[in-house]
Amino acid sequence: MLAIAACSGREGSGGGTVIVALGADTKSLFPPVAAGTVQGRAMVEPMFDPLAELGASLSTVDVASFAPRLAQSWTWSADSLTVTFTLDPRARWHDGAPVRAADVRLGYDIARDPASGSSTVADLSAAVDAVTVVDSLHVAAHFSHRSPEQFYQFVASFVPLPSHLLGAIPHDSLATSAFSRAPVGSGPFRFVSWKQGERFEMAAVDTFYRGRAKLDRVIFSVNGDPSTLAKQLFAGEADFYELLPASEVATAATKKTVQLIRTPSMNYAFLQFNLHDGASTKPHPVLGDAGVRRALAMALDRRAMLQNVFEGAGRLAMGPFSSMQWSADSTLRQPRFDRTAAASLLDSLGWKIGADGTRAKNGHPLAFSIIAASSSKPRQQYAQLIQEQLRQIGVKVEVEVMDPPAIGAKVTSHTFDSFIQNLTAGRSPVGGLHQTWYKGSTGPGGLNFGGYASAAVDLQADSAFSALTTTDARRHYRAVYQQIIDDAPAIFLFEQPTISGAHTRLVTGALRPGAWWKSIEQWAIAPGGHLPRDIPRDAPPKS
Amino acid sequence: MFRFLLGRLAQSALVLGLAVSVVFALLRAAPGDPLSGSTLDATTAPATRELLRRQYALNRPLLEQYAHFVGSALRGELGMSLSRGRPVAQVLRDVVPNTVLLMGTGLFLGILGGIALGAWQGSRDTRSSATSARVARMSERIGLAIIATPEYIVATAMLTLFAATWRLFPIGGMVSLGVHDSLGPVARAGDVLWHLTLPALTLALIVGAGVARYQRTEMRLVLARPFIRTARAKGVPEARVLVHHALRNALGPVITLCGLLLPSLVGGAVFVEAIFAWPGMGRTMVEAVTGRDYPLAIGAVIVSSVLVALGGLLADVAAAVADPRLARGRR
Repeated sequence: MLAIAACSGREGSGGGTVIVALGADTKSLFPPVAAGTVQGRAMVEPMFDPLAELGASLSTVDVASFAPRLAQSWTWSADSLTVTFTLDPRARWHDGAPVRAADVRLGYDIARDPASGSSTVADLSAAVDAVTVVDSLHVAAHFSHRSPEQFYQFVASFVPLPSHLLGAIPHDSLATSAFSRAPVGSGPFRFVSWKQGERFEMAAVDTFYRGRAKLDRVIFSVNGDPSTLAKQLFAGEADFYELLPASEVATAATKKTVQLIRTPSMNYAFLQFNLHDGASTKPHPVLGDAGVRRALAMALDRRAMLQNVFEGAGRLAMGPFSSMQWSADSTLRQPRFDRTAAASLLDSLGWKIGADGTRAKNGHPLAFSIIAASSSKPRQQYAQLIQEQLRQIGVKVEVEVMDPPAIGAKVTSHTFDSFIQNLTAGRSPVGGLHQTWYKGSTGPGGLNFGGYASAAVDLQADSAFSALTTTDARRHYRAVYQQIIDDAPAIFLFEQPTISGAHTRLVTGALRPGAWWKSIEQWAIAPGGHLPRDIPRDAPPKS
Repeated sequence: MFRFLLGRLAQSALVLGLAVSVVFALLRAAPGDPLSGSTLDATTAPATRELLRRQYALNRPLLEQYAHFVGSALRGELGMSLSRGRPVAQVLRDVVPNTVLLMGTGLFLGILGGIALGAWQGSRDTRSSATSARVARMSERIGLAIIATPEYIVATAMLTLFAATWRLFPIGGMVSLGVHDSLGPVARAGDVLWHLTLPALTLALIVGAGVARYQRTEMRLVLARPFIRTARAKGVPEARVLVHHALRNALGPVITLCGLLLPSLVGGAVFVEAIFAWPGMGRTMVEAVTGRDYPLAIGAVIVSSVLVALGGLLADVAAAVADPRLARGRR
């Protein structure tokens, strides 16, 4: 892994209670619904084991590297279109019932049914034809086509659910059922209590089939104010804060009881242009011209902006991907920062500087607006920096700061010029490409709000999706990425660093980028680091 | 008195209806709906999003939504919270007691402290010692500074000083996580009290500073009246003059003020709850509005409007009891 700073090197002693500070709560503890948010996943995934998990390499294409979970092994059919899982006979639901093939089938059925409120409907429907129960310990997944990531797409898109508890409940009632507030899982931690908007508690399962977690309890403390969350960490009232605000990092570094954990990001941010004039099919008077967009890209000193906003902690976004994805390519040809050349290009396109310092062509000023989210200070800073840098070549930019629902309404109705988008990329490059740049991504659920379309991109993407080897797939992805960068439907800006804060008494080991909770069963309290709250409480689960 | 009460109740119901209708319209007028934020990260599948839009009747005409809302509200149904996935009534049942505890304590301490301080400040005159007059002037200036400072800055300063720096109180929350549930009933109550102290004192400061200023002015006006001079001339002890003669007469306008303070206290509680991580209605309301959770936002507005209307009503009744001419005048 790249710059993962682990706080390893100390052996943790057993037991203990860890308090995790979270900025928001989840709507539901029902896995298919909770999967829609990071905080939901952090709370639910330690309670539910999947069939298999990404291995240490985090590769989504190397099936041999996957770690067994509820499935202790799997075998492929000769045509690679069916994989049969053998369930671990020791696996139990937290109420003592054994995990069976019918539970896998139920989890899959629920995850691909929109009525259940599932977040992964599209991922599953695109990859898998059917799931069949072979016998109580064997279940088979049948794929519609072969692809390097078919195994990952299946095991990462759902978790088995207890059919003896949920089998009789209609799918459209599951999200509001008692189970969604007090779930019975199969993972290393079991549900203890939840006061929505305040706190959530889970406890280690003593008889867990893969071995008991090192901690006794994990309590999530929920509060929306980042400054208060940071203060809780600094005062020792919380042990872990997943995403320290940039404004608190310097203070955190001065605290003897706080360790900073830097994890590579799965996010990448970009300035997305609307290539059309509002919601019409006519080209945007300014941004519809690829030449203008290239000039804008050349006029921006992206490295200076990165340094200005993140003070060296961030990473330059190199294209429509996260650098943590296996298809990432750092050798792609980037827009060259050259303000003079950018100005010349605009001159050659007929955009001449007017008396007021703003360029215009046929009476139309070279002006547009940038929308930035009120919830993101870095994106607001970027919008202001872009405004200033483009002013220097005669481009007038207006910055609009809005809350996410307002931005959502603007971009889905295509009534915007440009906005700074920050996407969380999946491990697989397929989903992101499908949602944002590939054909059809302008439709419902797509993120291609700017209406970019390229036959060359679609062709190469089709080849990437169906490639049978990662080498071939990588080659096609590279072509896709280069084409998008050259067409400039967006200017790729930054990958925001993830800096977590942890109490020095906590031993977390390396955190997985984009999913810090994945190793939580291995977290421990350092010797001598115990506090009064670490005394185990043998209370029965309460709903 | 009965007709007076009836009239005030009718007024309160009208205000409540208006407030809720205005909030309903404002929320709908704001760009975006509860599901439009999720379009930015594609975390909710389009089919699921459309299903939810139909479930929550977000695809219906505005007037139809309003009629449906009014009908449900009159039946006592506040609907489902979109962001919390459960009935609004349940969400509010969890958070309203916490807010009432915080606001009630803050209001009680603020009014009591404000009246006492204001009465003392108002009673300082040429007969008071120089030190006493200086302390009174200084406390007036501090009070003025608190009034002039935005609530969230007062709350942040209190948190930074008393919790983060001097560690006298916890940073936030309502209980000590990991410890609270293993305590006995008395210790649990003590734990809540410990967490309550700093946010309640913050609210008390905000309320008390305003109350003290009014009380001081009223006290000075009353002390200048002839009946006070008469009482002093008759040899009534100074303490009795101040408490029984002056303070009782200076309380009327301050009681009315306390009723008027409630709306601003609700506003102040929003900041205090957010900064002290107090799981109350103010925080819930802010989250509901920013997330366009219409049913929860309106439910919270209904509850806070009822609280404010009740507070105003109580203040009017208290003022009428203190001065029966007020009730007679309303007839």
